[in-house]
Amino acid sequence: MANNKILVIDDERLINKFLASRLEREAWDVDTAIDGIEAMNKITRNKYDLILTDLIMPNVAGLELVIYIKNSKLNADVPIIVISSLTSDNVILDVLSIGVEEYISKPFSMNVVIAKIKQILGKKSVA
Amino acid sequence: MEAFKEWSHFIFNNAIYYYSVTIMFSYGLLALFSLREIKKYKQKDNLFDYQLLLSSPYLPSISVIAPAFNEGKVILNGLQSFLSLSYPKFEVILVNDGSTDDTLQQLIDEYELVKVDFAYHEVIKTQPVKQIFKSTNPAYSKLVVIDKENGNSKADASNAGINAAIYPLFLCTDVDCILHKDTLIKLVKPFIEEQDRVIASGAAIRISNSCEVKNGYIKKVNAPRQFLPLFQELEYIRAFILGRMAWSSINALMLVSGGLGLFDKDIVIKAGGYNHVSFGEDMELISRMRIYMHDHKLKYKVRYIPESLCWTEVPSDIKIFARQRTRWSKGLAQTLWFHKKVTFNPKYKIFGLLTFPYFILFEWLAPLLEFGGIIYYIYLIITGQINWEFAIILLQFVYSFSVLITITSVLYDEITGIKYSKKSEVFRLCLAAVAEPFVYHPLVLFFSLRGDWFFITNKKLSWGVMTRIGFKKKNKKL
Amino acid sequence: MFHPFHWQQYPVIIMIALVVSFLALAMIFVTLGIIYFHRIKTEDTNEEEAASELIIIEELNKHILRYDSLNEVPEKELLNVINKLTRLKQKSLVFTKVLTRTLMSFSILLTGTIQLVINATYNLLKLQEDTFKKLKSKLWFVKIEGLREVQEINDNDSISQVITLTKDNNINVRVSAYAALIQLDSKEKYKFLDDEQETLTLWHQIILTNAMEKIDSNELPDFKRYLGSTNNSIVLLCMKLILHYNQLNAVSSLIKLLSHKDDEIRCFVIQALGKLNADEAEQQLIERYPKESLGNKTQILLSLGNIISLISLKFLTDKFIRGEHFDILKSAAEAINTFPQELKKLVPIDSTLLDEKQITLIKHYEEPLNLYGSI
Repeated sequence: MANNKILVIDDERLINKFLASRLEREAWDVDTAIDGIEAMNKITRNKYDLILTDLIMPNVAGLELVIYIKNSKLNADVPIIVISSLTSDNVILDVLSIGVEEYISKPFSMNVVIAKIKQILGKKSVA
Repeated sequence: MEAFKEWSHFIFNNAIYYYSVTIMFSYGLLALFSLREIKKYKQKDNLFDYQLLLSSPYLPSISVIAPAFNEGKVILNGLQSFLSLSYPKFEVILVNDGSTDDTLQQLIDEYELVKVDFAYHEVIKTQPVKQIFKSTNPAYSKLVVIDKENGNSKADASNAGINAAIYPLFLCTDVDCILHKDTLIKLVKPFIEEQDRVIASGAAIRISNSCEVKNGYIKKVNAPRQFLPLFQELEYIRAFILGRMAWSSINALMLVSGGLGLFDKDIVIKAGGYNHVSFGEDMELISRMRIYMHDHKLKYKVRYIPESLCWTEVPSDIKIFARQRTRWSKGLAQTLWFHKKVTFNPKYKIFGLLTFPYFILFEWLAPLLEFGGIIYYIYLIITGQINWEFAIILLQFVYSFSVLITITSVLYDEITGIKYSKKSEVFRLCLAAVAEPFVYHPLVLFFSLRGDWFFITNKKLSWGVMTRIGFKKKNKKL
Repeated sequence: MFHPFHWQQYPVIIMIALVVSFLALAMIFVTLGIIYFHRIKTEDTNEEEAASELIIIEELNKHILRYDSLNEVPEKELLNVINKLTRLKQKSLVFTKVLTRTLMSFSILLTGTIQLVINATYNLLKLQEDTFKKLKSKLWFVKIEGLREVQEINDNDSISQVITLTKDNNINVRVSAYAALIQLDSKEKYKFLDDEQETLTLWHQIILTNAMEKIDSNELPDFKRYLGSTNNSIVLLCMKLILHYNQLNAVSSLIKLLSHKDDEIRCFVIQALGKLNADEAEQQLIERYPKESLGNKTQILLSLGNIISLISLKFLTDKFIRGEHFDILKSAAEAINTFPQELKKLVPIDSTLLDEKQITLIKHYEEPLNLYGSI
């Protein structure tokens, strides 16, 4: 079985690279996108097993990106984890209501992120 | 006749001279104040952690209000930029002011709107509201669309938006504006960091005519390439970065532009909302809010920040430009006349003692005096009385000083942050600054006079439709 | 036409004009020069910063931050990275600045064990020396910069200097010092709640609540202790904290505050009692109602909506039917809407008594699409 493929979308290079390097260490295939357009291009072309995304980015409104993923051909069913610094209740409720699997607010613990990913990917492989 | 000659000679040779020197001196002072304020802002801003602010539950919530009248070409782009703002809690209220084009239908289709029972309450009187829509798509749950009968003014539509707003602060903007994603967080900053109550804040507006825009984002900022927009960019930089910053530093601001301003809703409502018969409703509102605060002996501030957060399309067509400037000038005259009691009234402190007289003397009167001066010079030339040597020295004196002020504001703009990617663009602006007094300023002067004339003769002035070219159509479909 | 030789014969005003215009002309060229060099300098610095950031992120991610503790990092690898970064740091001030900034950003964005790794790296790179120098600076904004570094990196060695800064003349410096102290091991963490006399702006309050967010909530004091403060902004801050940490034992102290003389404080107390679902405050809220301003009245109605009881519902229904001001009707309708159906049936509203406005209000709150943002 091939490694699980994860797409990391965050416009902050610091977080983007950090997430990528930590996830690679867990032996996942990691792809990154630095803004909405790049993310959309990758989502249209490649199939992923999980997508990790920020909400506020240049070139696309965060929620729109999630909707784009949900409407895409290849990745409509892919679980999405949102990591964002917006922590107000209505933002979180909005995000969860459009079918995002997990909402993690910044600052976040990498161990929690990895545990959530494992949990989601585990559920998926059982199903 | 001899007496008249001597008298006019005195006025034009001395009074005008001292008047010009006072204007220049005040500009010099403004430049100094503005520099001090920009420096202060930058020191503070470096320490400001926006990440921390965004995750705080204590920020005041904001209603973004944008009126639209026949904006079919730009509506989706503009709205997109509002919905993508980075702020924890806000709503976007779009007021369709009885458009006769497909504005409303586009909105209904694009955002999956349905009509809802909405308890709209008319705190400020407006033209009747026909219906209110919300989006069934949870991604756009922030959006409220108000459909109302045309009220013939932006003020009337904005007032309807204020009536429907549920949050304590509101941002007033236009659908042809592209907002930076940090607009709200940066504009709210004065409200939360001042000990006195802040009743309004604003930031610089820039010109989007030559910028690359995509999905409601400015992809690349370019200095305008067309004739009129280029000079308007220069004018905006000077007005916002140099002028308003300086006025803000002494809490004497008279104007927060209609294109981008964050307001305390409570005070706006108490002051009576926008005046729908005003031609300069944004300036008129600030005047009225300030008067309200002084009348009730409340301490307050009106603040500007040296950031460019809003890009808007400006007229590149001389006819539309003429209409806009004539309207502004009429609006200024109207506001000053309407609130004339403020002038030199110590009750209104710096606003009555400095701002108001300054605007009367140097903003409103300047074009009239300038016009008078030109006529006088022409008279001197015709009658052969002119001393060419002195005339040229005086002209060169005024000219070099005004170019210096403009170029200084370009420098300030560069200090607040680099916007254009190429050096050549900045120098294009500097070149424009050199040419401005000869090619652009006469136009502005002429239209200002026309506005004053319309004010005096009470001639009706249509708001006019700003014909928009529109940004490239959205090429992405969700 | 132009005779510079006779300039002595010019009138004074013309001479002044001549001098000023030449000065202006010279300054135009100077300004153009500054614009040009400012560009070049900014571009260079930006480039250097970007390049430095790239190296730093790369090195940290590859060799240090992928581990959960510094002990896991192979000794040689660690030594190599630290040496490399230290070398670059000694060469350039820009690099040092970016290095500090990057570590700070990591520290702000991440929680958990990795925080310790970041702190240790900060120490190994000897960055706390720079931080300490900043604390000693005479400039207020440099002091704050230093304090923020101390706060994020939990630099306990600087405690005494931080305590000195809690007595600084500048309120912004003091608040940053309080925030830093909250995250350090100090006994005087919350002394400022007793001592601070000046008004804390909302921004100050956010800095402080944020600092508390990062420590174990069991270590926090009972904020009701400070509700008697004469500094209204401290009272407001403590109420926010009581709410945030759900300190229910503060309810009786809050009820006492209902007779505070400041309108804004009373408004917040009313709101807080509602959010804490304090049913013991119900009677006092209802008694308070006639004495309050319009704004506080609406707040009482909303708070009663949180205290789900029959008495509240009856009161709200009465206000809804007989209320005159739109704000009263609106808050009453909103509050009534929060009650469960079974209770609402017990206090039916006779719709024949209602006017159009009231009926629309009921419909308004029954429409799920309208509820966005009122959470």
